[in-house]
Amino acid sequence: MAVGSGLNPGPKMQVAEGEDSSGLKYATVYPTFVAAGATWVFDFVVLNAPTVNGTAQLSIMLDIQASNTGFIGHGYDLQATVQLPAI
Amino acid sequence: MHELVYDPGVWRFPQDERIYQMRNAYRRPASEKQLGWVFNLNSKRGALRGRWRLATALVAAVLATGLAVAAYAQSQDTTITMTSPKVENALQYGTDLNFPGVADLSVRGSCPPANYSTTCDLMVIVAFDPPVSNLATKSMRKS
Repeated sequence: MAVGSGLNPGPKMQVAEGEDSSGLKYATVYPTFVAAGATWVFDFVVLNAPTVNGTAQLSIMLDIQASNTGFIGHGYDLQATVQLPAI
Repeated sequence: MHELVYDPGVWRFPQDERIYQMRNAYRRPASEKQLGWVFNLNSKRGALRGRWRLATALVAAVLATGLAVAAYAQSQDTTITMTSPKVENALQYGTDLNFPGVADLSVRGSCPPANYSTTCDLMVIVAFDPPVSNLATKSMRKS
């Protein structure tokens, strides 16, 4: 998996790729700062996605972890799975 | 000539007045009953002061407990999971995810047709509602 990030605005951020014990490949992006109300755009390129009858078979798992900047702070862990339909 | 000063039961000379006053200064200022009343009054004031301190401590304890509970509740992380959002097409796919009060996510991409493998584009757009920091975004592909 290659990560080509498009970020607006675009401060530097760290990108890490890996594979967990179950064989899931992942890329992790660590922005250093998120301004209030900002919209972030992340572009990824998935290389060599498996196909069945010419159709990509992808299960995209998103996990967004964030914490607000309040006095106490509150963590959010947003998880979503997007399954591309098989034809 | 010296003028005599009358004190109930006592006739004395004015020059002795100072000695008389000094002598009275050593006398007890109040009777035992009066003194007891003073002590009782002080005791009531002390009791009121103690009750006031106790009430203040209780109010402070309640406030501290409330703040601690609020802080604990606030500090707990929130995990929101959304599974199987609707995706119509694998070639040009896209879906919108709404995490109420937290963030809106949009997933867009395309996977050109190929025989055995292909290269897919994936774009994740994240719009946060509250101010956040330390954002970490992970995109995982399962083959």
